[in-house]
Amino acid sequence: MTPSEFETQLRHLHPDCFGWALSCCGHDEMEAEDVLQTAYMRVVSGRAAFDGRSSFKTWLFGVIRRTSQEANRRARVRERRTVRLEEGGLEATAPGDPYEDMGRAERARELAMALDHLPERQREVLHLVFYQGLSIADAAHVVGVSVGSARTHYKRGKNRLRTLLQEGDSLEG
Amino acid sequence: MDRRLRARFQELRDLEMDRIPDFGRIMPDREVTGPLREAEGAREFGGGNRNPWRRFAWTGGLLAAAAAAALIFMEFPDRSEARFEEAVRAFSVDPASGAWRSPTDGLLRLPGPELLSTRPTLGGPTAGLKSDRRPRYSSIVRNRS
Repeated sequence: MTPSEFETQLRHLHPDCFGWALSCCGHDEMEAEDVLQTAYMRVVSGRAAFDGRSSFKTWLFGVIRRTSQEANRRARVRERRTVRLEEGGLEATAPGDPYEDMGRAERARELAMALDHLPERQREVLHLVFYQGLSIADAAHVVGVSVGSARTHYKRGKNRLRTLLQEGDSLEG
Repeated sequence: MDRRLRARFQELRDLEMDRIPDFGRIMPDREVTGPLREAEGAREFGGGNRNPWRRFAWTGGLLAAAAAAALIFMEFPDRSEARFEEAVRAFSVDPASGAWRSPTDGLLRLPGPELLSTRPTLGGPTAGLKSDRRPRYSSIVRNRS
């Protein structure tokens, strides 16, 4: 892969990478940007080498995940995560029907908070499958677990998420 | 359930996509040289380009382990043993040197014990004070005769 193709790949995956970094960092945008920049730096500098054993996106998500874990070990993200969500960090910025946007933003915030209450692996697998559109096998590779474990996390995460969302919203199971 | 969950996730995604930072701002400010190496078995965060300081960490660890092993297995001379042996040697030469001495030992010394160990002579120098001036028996016999 030539350098220009490499940069093109990164640019193409940048929105997905940002969404994944947000999920890994508890929707802390500043933290997510730092993690993303560090991950890109590692990829560009060669500290993280793509070996072709998975798709480039899957491998890149693994790099971002590990980078965020290192960052989380240095900072107490969980407290900031809860505070940030409670402060209503997710707000609609795009122009449109303000009531509709407010409803969407409120539902999105509710989902983000519910995801935050899930165990880490369940949250990660659900995000990768529903948000990023990955298969369970690819999600297992990103998270670093077996496919069977990923399926278990997926099922339990869905059940738990349904319960959490039903506490605030009626949702048919 | 899945369908509705996907819809909720899509709402979350749409909202977050409005906040995507500019790629140029996030991308490291250096020429992309494309170090994507499709090396077999290459590992993340290092592959074949490991952090060189890791070598020093390994070397330092090995040196520390070697030093610890040397400290464990080396026999240092026991000073208390040396002192004991010295005392035993001194005792074997002079038992009195190894015997315990009372702090009031000096009070038991009676004056004039030297008189008991010498033989006085008539007319001669005071005997007994110095052993080398003690008269010999042969000289006393000669004097008598």
